[in-house]
Amino acid sequence: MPKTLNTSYDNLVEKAQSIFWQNGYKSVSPNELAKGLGVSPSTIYNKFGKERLFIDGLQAYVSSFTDPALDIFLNSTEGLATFKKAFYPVIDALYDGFFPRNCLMVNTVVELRNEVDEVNDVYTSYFPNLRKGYVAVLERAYKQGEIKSRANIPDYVELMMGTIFAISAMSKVKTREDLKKYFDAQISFFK
Amino acid sequence: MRAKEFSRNRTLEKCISLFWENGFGATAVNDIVKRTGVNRFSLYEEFGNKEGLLLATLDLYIERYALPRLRPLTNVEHLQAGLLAFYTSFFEPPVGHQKGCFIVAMALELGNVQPEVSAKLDEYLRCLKAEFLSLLKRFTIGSETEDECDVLIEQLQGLYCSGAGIGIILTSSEVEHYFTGALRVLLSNWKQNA
Repeated sequence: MPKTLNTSYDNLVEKAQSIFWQNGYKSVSPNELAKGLGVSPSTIYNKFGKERLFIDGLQAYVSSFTDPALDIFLNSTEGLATFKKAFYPVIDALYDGFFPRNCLMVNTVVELRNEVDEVNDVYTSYFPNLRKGYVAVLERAYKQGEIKSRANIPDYVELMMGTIFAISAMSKVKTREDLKKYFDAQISFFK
Repeated sequence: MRAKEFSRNRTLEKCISLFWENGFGATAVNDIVKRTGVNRFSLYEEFGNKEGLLLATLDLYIERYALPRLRPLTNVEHLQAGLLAFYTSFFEPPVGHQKGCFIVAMALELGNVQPEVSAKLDEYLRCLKAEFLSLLKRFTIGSETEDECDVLIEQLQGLYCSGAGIGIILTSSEVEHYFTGALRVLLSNWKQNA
């Protein structure tokens, strides 16, 4: 770590994550990023790079928010109730402003699409892991008798894969309570 | 008047492409001037400001693209296939557009700070609701309750929003797979969906 920096790299990543989360990636110039981080522009241009800070911020997002959810999906003993346990806090975070703007992964998909190779690498582990988590919950629900036909599980997983996008977008037009009802209704189709 | 309207829409079309490609926040007025060839003064005179311009692009997108994609639903012969065709139509974008939905993309970017942008999404979701309602009525056997119908319509609205997100990074066959699976689940209670 260079001596001129009085904050650790992890600290910079955390700050950069919140800047990108609020403003998106493309609209933040390297100079603005430097200003927001309290470092000199040359630190951004020569040392870390805007893209590196973004990717590391996205990875940090996955570690702080997605990994714990995956842990619940894989290791909870409950069936369908697991979904509520994982998603209600996300819905609350959307309304309470704890998430500055949507889920960061949703923002990234909508803004950067498949345009950045290193971001694509993040998707390559993120979405299959999510899928595995959903499968684990639905298999448990099947074993516990909440789901009658195991053959339907692949379709249920498809529906779940879009959920985070649906609640992010619908949080713009629905109240928190209505969004939770919408979410519950979706889960009620799994049977 | 006619000439002006023509160039107004042409300007807006170019702005849809710009905003969608780069995001609204990352598009500077200078970029708009360069892409459209319309000077700053005329832009402000016509649209007030950049936000006014955005709302006008959303109106044009709804009128020219989003609503026309609903039209085929009025005479589909199979409920699930008809809906699948509607949802996937957002993933065969014309030149200058991206995959997915411009309204959803803008609402995700700006909805928290610009209620007018969220209102455009709400407006389009209401159009979906009206169209889905008459579609479901045509495919009903009469024993479905109003409540079942409302729940289904809300889920179909949600599927629109979710597809407009996840579908962006999927291949066309994955998009089709996604909507097919999701629709099978959502329509499983609808008795006439055989």
